[in-house]
Amino acid sequence: MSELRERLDDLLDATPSYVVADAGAAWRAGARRRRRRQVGAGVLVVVLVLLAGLGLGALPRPGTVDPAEHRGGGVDGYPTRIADPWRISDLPDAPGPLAGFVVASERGRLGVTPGGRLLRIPEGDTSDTFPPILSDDGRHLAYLVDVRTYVLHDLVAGTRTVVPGLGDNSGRSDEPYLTYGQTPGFWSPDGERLLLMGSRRGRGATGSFLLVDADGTLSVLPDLPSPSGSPVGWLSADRLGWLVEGNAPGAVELLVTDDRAREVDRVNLEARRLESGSLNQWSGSVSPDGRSLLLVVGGPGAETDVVLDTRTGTQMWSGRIGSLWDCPTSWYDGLPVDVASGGLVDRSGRTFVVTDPALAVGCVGMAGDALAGEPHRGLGGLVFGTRTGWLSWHWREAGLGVVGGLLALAGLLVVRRRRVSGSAAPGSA
Amino acid sequence: MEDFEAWVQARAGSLARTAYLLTGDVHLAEDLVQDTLARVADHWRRVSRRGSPDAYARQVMHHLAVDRWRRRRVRPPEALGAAPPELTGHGYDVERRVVLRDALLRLTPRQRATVSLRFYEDLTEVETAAVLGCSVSTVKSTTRDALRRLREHAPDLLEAW
Repeated sequence: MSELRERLDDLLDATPSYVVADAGAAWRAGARRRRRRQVGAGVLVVVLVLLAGLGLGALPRPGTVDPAEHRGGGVDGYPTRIADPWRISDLPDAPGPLAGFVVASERGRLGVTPGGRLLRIPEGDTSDTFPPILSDDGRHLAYLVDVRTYVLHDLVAGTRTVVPGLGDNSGRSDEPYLTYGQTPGFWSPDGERLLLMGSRRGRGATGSFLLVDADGTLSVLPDLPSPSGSPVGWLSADRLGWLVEGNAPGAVELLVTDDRAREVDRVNLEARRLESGSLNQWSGSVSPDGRSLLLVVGGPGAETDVVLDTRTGTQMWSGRIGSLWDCPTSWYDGLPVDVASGGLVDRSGRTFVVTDPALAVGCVGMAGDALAGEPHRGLGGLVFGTRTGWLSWHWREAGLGVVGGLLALAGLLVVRRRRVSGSAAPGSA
Repeated sequence: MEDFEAWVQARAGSLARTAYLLTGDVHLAEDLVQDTLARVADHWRRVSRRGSPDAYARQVMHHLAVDRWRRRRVRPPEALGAAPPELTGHGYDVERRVVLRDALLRLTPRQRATVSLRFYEDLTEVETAAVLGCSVSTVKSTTRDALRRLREHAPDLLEAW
């Protein structure tokens, strides 16, 4: 091969006389390349920082609550869209008042902030369904943590008060008091007391309802004068409402008691149930202002819902809303709202809160003050309103994908341009 | 910049020869040399601190020579400049250089780069693979193909090997 080397040497021997190198021009060209690279890197960093800032700003930040969401002690608005976030944080001590909660089969029990962020409500291994209980001002939340621990959570002050001696109704709990699953609970309008269905554990115990003060003090209410009564909520700060059967077949009365279950008044309701003896804990619900009562009438498969005046018993509306079972009723503009496809629908048929299908929401409970406040649309709501198409729930991912694709394309173009500009000359015709 | 100019002064001849070997044209070789020097100047501080401007320049020049073909969908025709350096001299010497240059122009840019590194720069197969960013086996096969093609187009000149 040394012969080839000699031939090549011979061929190239005179080349330096023909090919002249200009060191000054090369140095200047090198400086230009260096400057272009530095400027390009600087621009890329700025663009990435801006994009990251915009992207992070648009993403939900579970676990934190904007000051704007936390004015005063109570909630003043609700989200129009509840999206499935990339990550859900546990409910912090003081997230501020919640607008409501959802029970999602894929994610469990989740608190909903007025801005639409989701926070996981503690949920242990319990033997039954215990929906959380949220006060109308969104500040107080009550929930069963495990079979032996029932907590009253002040979401503004950040205090979690364990109710001493209260557990669930399973055999695994040996707490002296128990509360039942699949039953509603009711916070008093001032958030100072909580009415629960429950009793003292053991044979011979009397009373079917518990009254829990905000400091965790628990007392058993005496039995009602009408034993078949079911609570429907607080009519005022010291008045409780109960549904009891009237004397006539199918007749229903609203029993008004004080907070010790002593009868104060009875209101005959202008409604007849088709089947007597079927009143249960989900048969009725009182509006946040205590003036309206939702009553489910009719028999299985033929339910009808009526809204009645709690003072006169007169009927104000009739129709059909979604199931009340296992889910507290939310009220909007004086009437109960329907839960359809995981969203809330008002009585005119307008969907005003939508939830991400990925959450598979089965129950939505919104605080009365939240739905009386302003809707919080957020970026997604401003763009998509209450539309529920795929893009409306995945616009963040789609946007990041587009931005990433554009950046990759820009990178390829820059590389290609550099290669072309850097070495277009050799061999070009 | 002074040390860069000194380095260019010392290496200009060698770079010019390699560039001509890779391009087969005086003007293209000059452009290739300037592009190579610009890139070396771009990273001069780093490569001079490492003491390897020659190796960096060699790598850049061979990459540029190969890439210019890669970047085009159709391989560009080789340009033949006027008054090439091989025409200096007389008689058999000139004819021998022209035949060798024509044979070299029949190679692909990668084959020419391989011939340049293996037989002009005297690099080993491993070193050649490192410069071109390919495997040693690729260098072997490319060398084999390049020599076969050179023999086909310059049988009298290269029949000895």
